[in-house]
Amino acid sequence: MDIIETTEKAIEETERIHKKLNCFITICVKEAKARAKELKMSKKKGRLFGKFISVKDAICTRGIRTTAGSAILANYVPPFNATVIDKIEAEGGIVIGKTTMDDFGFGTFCTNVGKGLPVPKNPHDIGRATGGSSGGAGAATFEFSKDHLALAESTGGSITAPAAFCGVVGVTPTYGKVSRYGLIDYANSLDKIGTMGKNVSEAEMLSRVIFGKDKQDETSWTQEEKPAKKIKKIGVIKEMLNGVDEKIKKAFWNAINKLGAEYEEISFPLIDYSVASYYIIATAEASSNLARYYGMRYGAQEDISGSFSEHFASIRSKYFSDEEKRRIILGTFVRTAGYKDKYYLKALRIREKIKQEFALLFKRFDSLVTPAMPIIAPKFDEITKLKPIEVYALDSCTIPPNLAGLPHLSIPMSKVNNMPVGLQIICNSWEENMLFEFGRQVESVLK
Amino acid sequence: MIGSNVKVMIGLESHIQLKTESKLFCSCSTNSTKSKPNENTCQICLGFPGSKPTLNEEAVRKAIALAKILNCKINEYSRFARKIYFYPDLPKGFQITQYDEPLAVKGEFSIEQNGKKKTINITRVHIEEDPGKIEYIGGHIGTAQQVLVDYNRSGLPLCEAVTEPDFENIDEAVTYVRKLFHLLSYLDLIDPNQEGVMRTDANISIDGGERVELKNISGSDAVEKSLKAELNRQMFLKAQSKKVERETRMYSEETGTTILLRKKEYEEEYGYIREPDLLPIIVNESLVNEIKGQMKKLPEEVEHEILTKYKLPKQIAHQLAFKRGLYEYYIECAKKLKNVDLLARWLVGDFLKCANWHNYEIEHCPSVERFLELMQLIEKGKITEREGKELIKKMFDEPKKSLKELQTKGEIDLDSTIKTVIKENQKAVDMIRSGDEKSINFLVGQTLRKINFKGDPNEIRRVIQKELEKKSEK
Repeated sequence: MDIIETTEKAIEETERIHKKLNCFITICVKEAKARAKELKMSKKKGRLFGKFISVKDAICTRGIRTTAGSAILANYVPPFNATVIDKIEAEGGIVIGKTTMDDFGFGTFCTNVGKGLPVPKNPHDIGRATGGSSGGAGAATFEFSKDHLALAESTGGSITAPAAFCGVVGVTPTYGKVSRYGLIDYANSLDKIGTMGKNVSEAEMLSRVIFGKDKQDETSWTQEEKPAKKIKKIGVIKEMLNGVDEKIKKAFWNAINKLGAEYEEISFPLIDYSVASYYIIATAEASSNLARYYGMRYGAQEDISGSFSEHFASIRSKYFSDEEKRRIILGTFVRTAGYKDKYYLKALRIREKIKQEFALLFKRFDSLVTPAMPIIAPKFDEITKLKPIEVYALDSCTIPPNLAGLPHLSIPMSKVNNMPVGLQIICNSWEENMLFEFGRQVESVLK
Repeated sequence: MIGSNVKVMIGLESHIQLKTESKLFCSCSTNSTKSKPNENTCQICLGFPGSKPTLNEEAVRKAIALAKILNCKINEYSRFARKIYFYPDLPKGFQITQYDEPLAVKGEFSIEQNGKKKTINITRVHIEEDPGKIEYIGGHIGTAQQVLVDYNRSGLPLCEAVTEPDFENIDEAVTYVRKLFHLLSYLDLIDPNQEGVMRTDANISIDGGERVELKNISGSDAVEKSLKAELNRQMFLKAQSKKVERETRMYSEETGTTILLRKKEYEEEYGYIREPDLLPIIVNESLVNEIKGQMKKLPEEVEHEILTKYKLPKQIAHQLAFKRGLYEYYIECAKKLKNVDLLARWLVGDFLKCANWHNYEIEHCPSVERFLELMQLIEKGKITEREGKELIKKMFDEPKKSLKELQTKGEIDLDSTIKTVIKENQKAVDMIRSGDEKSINFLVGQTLRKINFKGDPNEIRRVIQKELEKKSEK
């Protein structure tokens, strides 16, 4: 089979998967075929030749609709590519579709999608959520038979959560390791583009393509990686086990024991402030990022009526969802004079402290491990009963490494009630080599 | 003068557009003089989702130079912030500026007024991006039928320089703005001909009243007019025993008064956060020294050099030093002309007058060779001073003509000039014909004016008489 035929097969499979799991916002039929033709003519076969990449819809693709999962961008077609897309194309990868997500990444289950956009279903039980916000990516990665890799993105756990709920490997690199140019912002100081694959090596392959400094993103960086050493000592943070479902805890300890590495339980009391601190910083930045959507240059448009203030208020009222509005209000509040010292500035200080604490821990441990999520993928009707604050609390395992910008990955470790549960591995900044090596080690032991 | 016995306090915030090739955070051109609206824009300065800013180093270097002129302390570590508010000229819904960690603080700038020196304290200098430009079609902000936005200006690099409320009268404030503007043009940090290159917000209050902020005053003349109008308003309120309230106002050219924009019951609330897409600006001493080393000399330094090297009178040295590039021009001329006194006198005299009249920088003025040609004619006594003055004007007016052509033109044209004068003044001609001989003086005067008084009146009178006779014969 040549690349044109495999592309046609991949498109068929994508359509079949979408029909079953509702995980694509756009399937790039025309564009993928055109790319396949180009690749057939080209002599150069890159590292991703023959691979089909699904892209979380927060990542800009030139000429292909990019919604960030929000109704306010439902018809937005970017005039430029994100740097990661250029890199993937330069290595012969074909973008097969854009995967569904919570609007702007605002969610843990991928149920906060913009009006009219698809809510994905969990491949293990279609009555359950995929996890979010990169929910489409998680479902697609599990369901594809082969040759598929996913580009995802995490701000506070949006790769780990769906990877754990869907039973795939999810990689979130060190903050700055991958250029964010062309990623539609949720919270710029926390956003990280990462990958998903069926196993560690697959996810690593795509990750290696997108790593590296980009002059279009000042916060991106290339740091030479030390060679991976054998993992000798791992740490388990007690506070990160609080609130974890008992069956998952049991699965976690089973996994730890199978590893055979030396481990130590440690206390990290400051960790308890990470969820609060995360939601303050993330919403403060998000509320400023969402200020640009007022129906003037792109995104949802309406006939102009009334004053500028009336016009932008009516567009934003109509197209933003409840969760978007909630985070705008919360984020605006925490940065308003009189509250800013109490919330925004304090949260920044806590983040610094947590980073420092982690740095100290990595002097003693090669890696830290936690359960990926405290629960298994919930049923859709269970989710509607949860209060926002209860949902936010479910990010307690994923937020600490995200807040500190540390590289981490989620690996399926076992099943609870027939649903996959994940193990989260955290390494020190810029030690992706170690992360992948340890990941492979864990993978082989748990198989 | 109004307000002379009332205590006045004025503080200024000037937004200065730095002269750079590209915008502050993207590679779009800063020069839109020949561009269509919204032509010099890209996804970054239009704030498209996913685009990210990257800092233009040239702008930072110029901002550091500007802060040095104001004798500020440059912070080793400064940072950008987001100032978040909604306005149609603001593509991202926030402006990238500096807030609690500005580029430079605590400066001093000395001004001189009627021979008296005074130091103005500078609070801070920071870097920020310009928003777009709003065009009101068919009216002003309150009455316009249509409002259009041009984002060519969006993302231009600005430096904001904030003074303490140290100005005690309007003249001091105007002197400050003029001196700063002159220095910045002189050192090539701004393009003085760019529209809106220096826009000032002024805070003014009188004893017992709240402070009023005047927004967006473009240029130094406007600073004077708006402050005068606002001071008048405040004095009038005081005279009626009314309170001056805390407000934001704007000068209206139409009415010559300031108009209310908004009442300021509260501090403005922008909910500043750190700009997470940009790295902190780190400035070490060696960078500051490097920039200082590359800076052109200040006018007073140039003046000092002239006084010691050429022993010219102080007044002339001052003028030679004041106009950017004039001293360099003088040095070039002095290499070939011995009589440097004559040279200096002409340069700061008619040459400078013409340059200023045309609003020319030195590089737009006649070349050194061309000017020297003229100087040599004067030095050798081949033309009179008066003729010299005329020629220099023509050199500026007609840059393509040689000195010879400029010299001869007047003589050839006398006959045709007289014919035109006769044609244009039929009434006077009729009066002469009906016997009023004095009317011929009027025609002589008109002719002289046309040829810039460069002819012999008696000769002209003779030619006019002859011409009139010719006509009456017909």
